[in-house]
Amino acid sequence: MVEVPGAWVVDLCHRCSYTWRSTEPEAFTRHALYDARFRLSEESLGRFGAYPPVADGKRGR
Amino acid sequence: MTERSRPSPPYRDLRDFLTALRSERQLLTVHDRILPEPDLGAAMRALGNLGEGAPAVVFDNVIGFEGKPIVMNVHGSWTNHAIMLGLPRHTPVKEQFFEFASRWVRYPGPVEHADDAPFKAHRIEAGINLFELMPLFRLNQFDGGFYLDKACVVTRDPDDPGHFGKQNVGIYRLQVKGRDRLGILPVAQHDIGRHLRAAEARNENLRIAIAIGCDPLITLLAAAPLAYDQSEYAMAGAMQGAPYPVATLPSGLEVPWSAEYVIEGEVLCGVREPEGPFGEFTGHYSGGRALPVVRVDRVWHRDQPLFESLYLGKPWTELDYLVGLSTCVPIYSDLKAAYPNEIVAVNAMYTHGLVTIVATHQRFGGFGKAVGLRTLTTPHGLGYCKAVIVVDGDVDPFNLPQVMWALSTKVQPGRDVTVIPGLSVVPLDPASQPPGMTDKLLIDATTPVAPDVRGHFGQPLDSPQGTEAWERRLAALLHELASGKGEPS
Repeated sequence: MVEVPGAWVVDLCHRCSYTWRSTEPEAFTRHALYDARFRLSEESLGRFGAYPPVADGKRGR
Repeated sequence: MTERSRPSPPYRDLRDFLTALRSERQLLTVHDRILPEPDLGAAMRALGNLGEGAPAVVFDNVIGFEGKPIVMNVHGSWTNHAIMLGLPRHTPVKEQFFEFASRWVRYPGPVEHADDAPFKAHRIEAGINLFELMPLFRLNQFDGGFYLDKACVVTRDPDDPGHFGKQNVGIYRLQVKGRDRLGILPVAQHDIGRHLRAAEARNENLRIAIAIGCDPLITLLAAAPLAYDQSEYAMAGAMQGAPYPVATLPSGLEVPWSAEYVIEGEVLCGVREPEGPFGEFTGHYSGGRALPVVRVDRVWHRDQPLFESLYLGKPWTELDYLVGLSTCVPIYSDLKAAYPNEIVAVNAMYTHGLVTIVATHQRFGGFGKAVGLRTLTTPHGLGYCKAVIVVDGDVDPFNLPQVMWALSTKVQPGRDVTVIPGLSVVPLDPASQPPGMTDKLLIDATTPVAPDVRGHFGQPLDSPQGTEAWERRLAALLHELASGKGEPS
């Protein structure tokens, strides 16, 4: 997303929008070390409810 | 009610207010070289932990944010609120409440259009990258990303786009999830939820403007639950007793003239994408959901813009100060409209009013309970007021020891405690099940009056004669003592 040379790099996951900075501890930059209570998977993303609900037939543009 | 209500000082912009805070020694600048994470969130949590009277804080030396200062805690103490309202800095909360309420009823006030807004200095339409333009950071450690959490978000009613009052200014959390893409939480009970519903019913995108770093009064009112067709700008004009300046954007939306940054874009019809979690005002993370998305088309900003943010989490935080009086006053004015001679004051400052305390005089037995029920059915009560405590008119609802005294001595649980099942609440309430549904609690802690004759309340203990005069006398002596003029050694 952005790099400030000599300072840090910001990355973003295009699947779940998780965003992190290279200067953060590994517990926040490596999926395997991320706290299990907050770690996402395809299965948990599939349970994300739409809010507010989208009426039938409405499409994004 | 304060007899001589004064208007709020018309601070032109955030910079003007910071100058006022500096002169009152309520502005702290941290020049230390710090990291965005965890330092910014940790510093603001720590500031809240230190207690009352906290200053606004500017961070001007964050690694990687050179030339992009961040200001936080602008609304984060009753001292700062008093200065914003033009009151002496130590004005008690209850007096600030009455002052706020008396200005609130002057609605509507004047609004002026001024197109020389300083944010028009820089206009970016190509190659927008919010991560480059703004000093974005993670606030609480398990937030799913970087958020705009103190922006005035402006939308119009797609079914009535010319109605100035239905144009809404509110604060909603926005996750920056791409160079030119935001996630947004438009709570269904709030005005923006209504606007989005109308736009999607028409199969249209919803135009949106997001103003960051505005004057403190409009930010305060953006956090306040006004009636659907009331304009936050006209309320600002009423409260400051002078025209409130707005600037018109190419989209036709009007934003505060004072803004440091303005983002323009559209909420995409029918699109929902993963968002969150985000540490919320309930002191819990929100979990993740599929929320609407904003496509950013244009960004404006001032020369050397100031980025404003706030800390929120387990109360008390700046958010509780920001929203505190704003949730008290609408409930108060709704109750006052129903019972003008009885209602004294409302304290709905706890977690946006999930707990609300109402002070009222009584007409007859059962009246306190009726006032509690009316509180539940006010517009704000529909989403909050999970517990309502009703106390006598001579109990200060902002003085929690007094409220605890009323609970301790006036309540007979079998008669005075009522649970009403199956009512609505904000889905962010972590105890709601399913999200958005809850039972509600009503505690009538008023003194029983006829014909509800019970208990032994016939000999109330009054203050000794002259107590009020002694309060004033001692306050003056204490002021002398504190200023070094009193108490010769």
